[in-house]
Formats: sequence, C-alpha cells, structure tokens
Amino acid sequence: MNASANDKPSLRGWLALLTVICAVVLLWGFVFPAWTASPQFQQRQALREEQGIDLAAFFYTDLDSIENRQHLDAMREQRPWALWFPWSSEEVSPTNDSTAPAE
Amino acid sequence: MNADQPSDPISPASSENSASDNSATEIVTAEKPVSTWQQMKTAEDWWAIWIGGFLLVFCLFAVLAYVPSNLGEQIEEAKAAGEKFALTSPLKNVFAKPGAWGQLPPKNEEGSEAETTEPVDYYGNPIDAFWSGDKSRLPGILCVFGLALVLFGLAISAAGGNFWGFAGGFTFVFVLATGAYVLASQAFVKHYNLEYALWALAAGLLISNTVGTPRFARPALRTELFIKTGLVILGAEVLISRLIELGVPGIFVAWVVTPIVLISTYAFGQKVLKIESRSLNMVISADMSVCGVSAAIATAAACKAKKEELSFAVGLSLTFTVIMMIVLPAVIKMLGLSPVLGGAWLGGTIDSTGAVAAAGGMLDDIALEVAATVKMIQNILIGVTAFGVATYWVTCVEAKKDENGAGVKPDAGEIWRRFPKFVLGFVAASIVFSIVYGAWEHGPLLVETVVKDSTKTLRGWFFCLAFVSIGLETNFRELAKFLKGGKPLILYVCGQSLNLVLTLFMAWLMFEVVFREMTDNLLGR
Repeated sequence: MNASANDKPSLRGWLALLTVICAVVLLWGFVFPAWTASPQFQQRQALREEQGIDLAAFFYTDLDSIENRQHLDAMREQRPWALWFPWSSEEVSPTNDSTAPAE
Repeated sequence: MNADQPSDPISPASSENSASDNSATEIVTAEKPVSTWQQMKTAEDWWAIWIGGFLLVFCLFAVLAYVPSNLGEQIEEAKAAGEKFALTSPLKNVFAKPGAWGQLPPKNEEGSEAETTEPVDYYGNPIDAFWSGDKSRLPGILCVFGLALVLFGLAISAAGGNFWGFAGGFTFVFVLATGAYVLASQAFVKHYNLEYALWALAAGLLISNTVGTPRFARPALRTELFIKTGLVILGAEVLISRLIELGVPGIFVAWVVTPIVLISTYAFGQKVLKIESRSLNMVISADMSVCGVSAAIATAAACKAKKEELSFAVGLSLTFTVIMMIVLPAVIKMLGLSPVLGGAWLGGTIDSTGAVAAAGGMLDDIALEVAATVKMIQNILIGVTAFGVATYWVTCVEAKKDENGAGVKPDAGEIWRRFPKFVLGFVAASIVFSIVYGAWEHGPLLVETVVKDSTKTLRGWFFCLAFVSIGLETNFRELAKFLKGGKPLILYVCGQSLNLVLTLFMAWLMFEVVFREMTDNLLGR
C-alpha cells in the first residue's frame, strides 16, 4: 500500500485515504460529540476541570493543578521540615489544625 | 537528513552523528573532520540551540519589559485581598494553538455551571478549536507559522538548502500539524489522553502509506531540527529547584527508583532479550521509566534513535498509559492503599503527566497532589537522562574498535565531536531558568509567566511538526518489523512490572514507614 515519492499515487491509495478521512469525519463530527454529550461524561469532565487536570498535559507545566496543592502547602507551612526529617514533628504554629488545608 | 532513507537516525548524519546506533561492535568509519566553528554555522544541532535560545531570550525579555516597577507591592496587595497575583506576557495571544472543543457548554451570564444532567442534542464544532471565547486563535497560529518558517528556513539556508523549497513543504506539514491538534483537542479524545503526538504521527503515516508523501513536502521533513529545537525550549521548564518539593520521599520515589528501573530494563533488553537495536531498547526503557513521550523524544535524540523507533516507543507508551490510567486507581482502591501511597505509586509509574493527574484525581485530592508532584520531580529527570544517555552513547556505544576488536576509549576531542550538541542547549536552558527561578525573589512568577504564556506553546508546535514529519517518512512495514518476536513488547511489560514493584516498595518505605508521621499528618489520621 505504501507509495513512495517517486511513485504515482495509485487509485487504491486514494481510496484508502478517502475512506480514512470519511471515518475521521464520522467519528469526530458525530460519534465523539454524541458521547461527549452524555451526562456521565460531562460530570466526569466537569470534575476534572474543577481539579485543574489537563489530560493532554505533556509536561508538569501543562498542569494547572501542580500550582494548587493545598494539602501539601498547608503541611509544609506548618511543619517545614516534615518532608526532610522523619523525626521532625514540631509545628510552626501548634495552635493550628495541621490537617486543615489552606484556604 | 536524507528523506529517502526511512531509517535515518534522529540525529543527522551530516555532522558528527553518523555512527551506527545498533552495534557497539561496528567500526565507526573515518569521517572528514569538520571544525566546530563550521558546525556552529551549518549543523542542525547548533541551529536548534540558536533558534531555541533566541526564542527563550525573546520570550523572557518580553515579560521582563512588562514587569511593573512596583511588582512587590502589587503582589502584596493581591495577597492582602486574598487573590493570586498573575503576571501576563505580552506574547500570551501572539502565539496560539487550536484549543479544546466539544467541551461543556459555556457558563451562563450568572456564572453558574451549565446544566449537565440532561443530554445535550449536539455540540462540538471543530471550528471552535480556533476560537477562545470571542477571540480568534488564528492570528496566533499564523504568527507561530510565520516565526517558525523564518527561523527554520534560515537554518535550512545556512546548511545550503533552498528556503523556498522548504517553505512550500513546511506549509503542508504545518497544516497537518494543525489538523492533528484539532483532532487531539476534541473533548472525548482528550478525556482518554490520546495526545497530539499520536494524531500527528497518524496523519503523516496515513499520507505516506496511501498516496505517498508529496515530493514538494520532502525538503520540510526536518524531524531532528524540530525535535531538538523543541527540546532546547523544554529545557526552560526543567527547573532543578522543583526537585525538592516533596522532600526526601519524593527524591527517593522519583530519582532513585527511576534510574534503577531505566538501567535494569536497558540491561535486560540487551543481555536477556538481546534486542538488536540498542537505541530502541534505550528509548523504550526511558519512556517507560521516566515520563512517557517527553522522555522518549529527549532520549531518542540523545541516542540517535531511528524515527520509526521513536514512533513505536511513543505508540507503546500511549497504549499502556491509557490502560494503566484506568486500571491502577482501581487496584489501589482494591488493595486499600492510602491516597498518599497510592498517589506516589501512580506518579512514579504511569508514563504520561496528564494521565497521572487523571488517575490521581480518580482517588482524591491528596492522591492527585502527591501523584502530580512525584511526576513533576520525575519530569525534571529528563535533563539528566538526556545528558547521561548522550554521554554513554558517545563514549561506550559508538566506541571505535582496534584491529583486535577491542573497544578503544575515545579521547576528549572525539567525545566532543560526537556529542549531540543540542543537549548542551537543553541543559544550559535548564540551568539559566533554574537560576532565574531560584535566585530572584519574583523568579517563580517570571518563569511561570514566560513558560505558560509563550514557550510551552512553541515547544508543543515543534514537537507536533516533528511527529508529522516522522509519520510522513515512515513506512508501516518499518514499524511492523518491531512487532516481530514481540521483544519490545516484552521489554516494556517486564520493565513496567519492575517499575510497579520497586516504586510501590519505595513509596511504602518512604510514606508509610520512614515518613509515617508526615503521611498521617497529611491524611489527618
């Protein structure tokens, strides 16, 4: 089926290309949008949007959620050395509830 | 790069990189020495550094020029008002790519979420990919096209190519890349992590294997130039100081386990499976152990892998990513692992960054935070991986043999001549941006703005162009031969199994034994 640059494209090649293009139009134009419109899908998508998750993220810089780590940030603020020394239990502010995420 | 040779290495044979990637036993033929100065003017590696470096400096200074003199005060004011201060690059809308379409209906005037409990008849017009609200993305896309055409055209001209010949083909490749972005941006496709790399590759493969790649497009199939320039730009996102964001546990899970898995898998492929192509072995080992497509691209360029080897490794990685993204959260729930341990396991094992976040989000917010942070630390490893692999390749794999067949240790000049220079640009970009990030009070804000508003759009385009080019140069038969005997598949499965076991053990040791108190604190136990 392969046609190199030196070959004249065959009718079979053009037909194959057209078939795939039609399939793409059908899938992206009708099938996927129909699935996307289902309430379950929309709920899942809304949740991911809320969580700042971009599934197409190629690198961490593509993820919004990476800058929004409330639990980890709150813990780091209250126990700055907790991630470095296992015995570091001292809180910066003992009156704070160490488990509460930052507002 | 000779487009008529489908098995060209990712790195061009024109300069210092013509050694076989397949065998250490092969004697490297004597090459006509080319001075470094000459290479700097003509070689693709160097042009990748010039173009990538120029774009990074341009984007950095564009933001710096717009930094208000009272930035500190403005940040404090925003903080006092309980808001997050955001700096905007003047290039934010200058560079664009097709955006998501077929998403949720837009919010209504009151700002409340649109009703999602009732099915919507039909929405999702591909034209929406070219609009962001009421603003068109087309000028931004055309701007990227113009800038890339001029910069890459300059590189082609400097190497003795024809600019206008390149321009015609580049337009064709760019149109296909735009199409790939549109396909990848559909909500349903995006939801299952079917990245643009896959569609770019598929678009190129479809044309080359049906009607054939048009002759006019061939001068623009500069895979190496696109990939290496994209990697130099990616260097600005490899911020060394972010390595410590999860402290000791993060370093152990991401930076101790990952190299062990990478080296073990590579050794397994060579010694046990006896995979013929060392570069294929290395690319699969890296994309499986480090961070998927981005690691595959960086390693393939560093070890001069063939284009179809990169395509195959990317396809393999994306397939397993989708499976793992769905299966692993279910396994974690079934085993009753804590969200911290589960998140760390996900972050250390699933290849793709987006899929890691999605899998973490299926558990809970804490799992998402831990998973994404572990993945971020692992992402940063690609700088070290690319440098390490490039050094290993030039010093060991491509070592010359003496008349007795024994390996000859290359001297410093030989190492320099063979070393893929773009890696230096990649590492330099990483170091410079890490310094800006860490040394200046507002460095994080500045670097974040430069990357988010401009450079990440450009590197995305360059990788997309590279995958279209790979597809246009690849024959299905070349890809099919990798499936023979199933060795690469066995390599991936065995490597990933080791990765799963070792990462789970290390994450358990760190988060449930050594730093138990921290985990309890995080979980409110």
